[in-house]
Amino acid sequence: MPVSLDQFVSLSSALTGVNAAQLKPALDPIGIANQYLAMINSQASKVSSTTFSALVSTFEAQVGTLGSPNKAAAFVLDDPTLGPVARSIIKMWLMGTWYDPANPGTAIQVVSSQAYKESLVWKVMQSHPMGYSMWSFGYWAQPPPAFEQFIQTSSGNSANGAN
Amino acid sequence: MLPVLSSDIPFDITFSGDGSLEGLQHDFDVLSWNTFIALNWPAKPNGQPDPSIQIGTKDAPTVWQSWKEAYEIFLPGGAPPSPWGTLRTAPENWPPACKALFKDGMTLLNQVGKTPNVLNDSTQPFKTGPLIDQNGRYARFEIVVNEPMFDSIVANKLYSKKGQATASSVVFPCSSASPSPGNVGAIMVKASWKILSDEEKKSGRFHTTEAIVYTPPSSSPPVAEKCELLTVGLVGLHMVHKTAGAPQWVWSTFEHVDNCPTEGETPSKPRYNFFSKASPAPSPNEPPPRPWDPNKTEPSERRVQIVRKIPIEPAQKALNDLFQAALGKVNPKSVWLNYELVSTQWPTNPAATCDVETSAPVDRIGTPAPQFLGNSTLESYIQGKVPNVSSSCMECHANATTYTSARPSNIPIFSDFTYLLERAQ
Repeated sequence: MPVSLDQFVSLSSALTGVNAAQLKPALDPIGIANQYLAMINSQASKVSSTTFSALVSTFEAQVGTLGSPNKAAAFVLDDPTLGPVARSIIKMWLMGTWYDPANPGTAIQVVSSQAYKESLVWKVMQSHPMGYSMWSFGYWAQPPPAFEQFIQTSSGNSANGAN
Repeated sequence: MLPVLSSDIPFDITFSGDGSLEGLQHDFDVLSWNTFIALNWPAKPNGQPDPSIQIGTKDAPTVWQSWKEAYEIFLPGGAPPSPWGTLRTAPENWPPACKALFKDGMTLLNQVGKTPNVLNDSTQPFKTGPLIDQNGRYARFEIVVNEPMFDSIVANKLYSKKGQATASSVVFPCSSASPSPGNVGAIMVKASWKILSDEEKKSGRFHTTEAIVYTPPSSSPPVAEKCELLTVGLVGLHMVHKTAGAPQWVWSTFEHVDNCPTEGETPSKPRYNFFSKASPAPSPNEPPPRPWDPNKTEPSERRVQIVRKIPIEPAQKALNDLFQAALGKVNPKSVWLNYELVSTQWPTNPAATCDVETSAPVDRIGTPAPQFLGNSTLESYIQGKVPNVSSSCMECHANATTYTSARPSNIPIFSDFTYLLERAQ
């Protein structure tokens, strides 16, 4: 059974700590979650569909068993087979780049030009991608907006303005 | 059922669907078409729409063509512009030969006054190059604003450098549906025109106007000052409306249907405005090599070869068919049957208030949909899908600033998505 977009976003939210609605907005002209899911499903990811499906099904089962997505995320991260794939997913959301799960220091590819600018690392830094700014001239003379305006956590802070 | 053609400019979208991306895109596209109809409605001499004539009954001066052109607002020495409704006059510093050609109120194409670059208004964004049509003539451009935007510029003295030096922020008015009868927000229109051949004039395929086409002088490259009274045909139209629901503005763009084919598709028309089926043709979407002289009729090898990089989507094509059917019902030979919506860009994450700088601190641009949008006559050479490189109305215009401000060190400030304020003298 292929992993659905909703399943992938739920897993990703638990792994990154970022609200699912920020990872996959209701109005989503960019579709970065779709791109990341396609990346994992591609041969270039070096992840078999069996392993990816096992990661998702194990996570979902542990949510029921352990009672929380956070605990389920910790469970799959500790798993010797599933953990490396889960860590590559976290890095993909943060860096926009897919890393080989078997060789965690080896970047296979930047997923897309959109992935570069949509990487969560820029928001975590309360900054913007190098070479691409969604702000306007002179912003550097002002303090950056608060972290909560950049990142909506999966535990539910309000982040008006983040997307 | 065919849409009702109205001279009323819509204040905002009318929700018709489920609030999905596709449903909202449709609603914004309908807003674009209704705005196109209203702004191109035949105008009375005072610029107001003439309710006694249906659009397209005959080709006539339109509502937007009487709005204030940039050269009327940003005057030499930072002088205040003449009040709204004043008939357009020839610039004071024009040579007598040009003034003699100009009749008050007529369309003037190209920059006037002391411009550092002869091609200031005949080039494309980022000075990528001029657009030379298949007759060898240079396309010309104009930018006009509506009364609410003009009033805001005047009230806040944004028309001059001196006035901008007292400005701490720029916020143009949003539309409002209430209290009744509501208010239209700030609107900008950017138009591209081509100089028509005798055959094209007779074709009835263009909205036309008699215009003074002015080319300012230049020493490097050497270009002679010239004024010509010519018939020009509309080939591209951006309409940008700041609405309550879209404080990052709604960006609508229309084109003449004969402009160019879509990349990868077989050119099906006998003739295009900016594309040649003859071989060998120049590389597509490449600006012509320098030197550029807008007074010349360029040879075929210097005429540009434009293709549309991003196809018009089926949803927009279907809506085009619908509105064109309504226009055709008024007049089967209406010139407006030859114009089509390319798409509408709008913010999926709109600012909470009309003051975008304050209320959208993180996502100033508002995550536009579609991500990329260009008009083949206005962004000819920057079409594509590369972030920060390819044409995206909102991403680009979010970088627009004033010339100066009241902030420390008089740094330029966010100008609410218009580059016009940089023209202040």
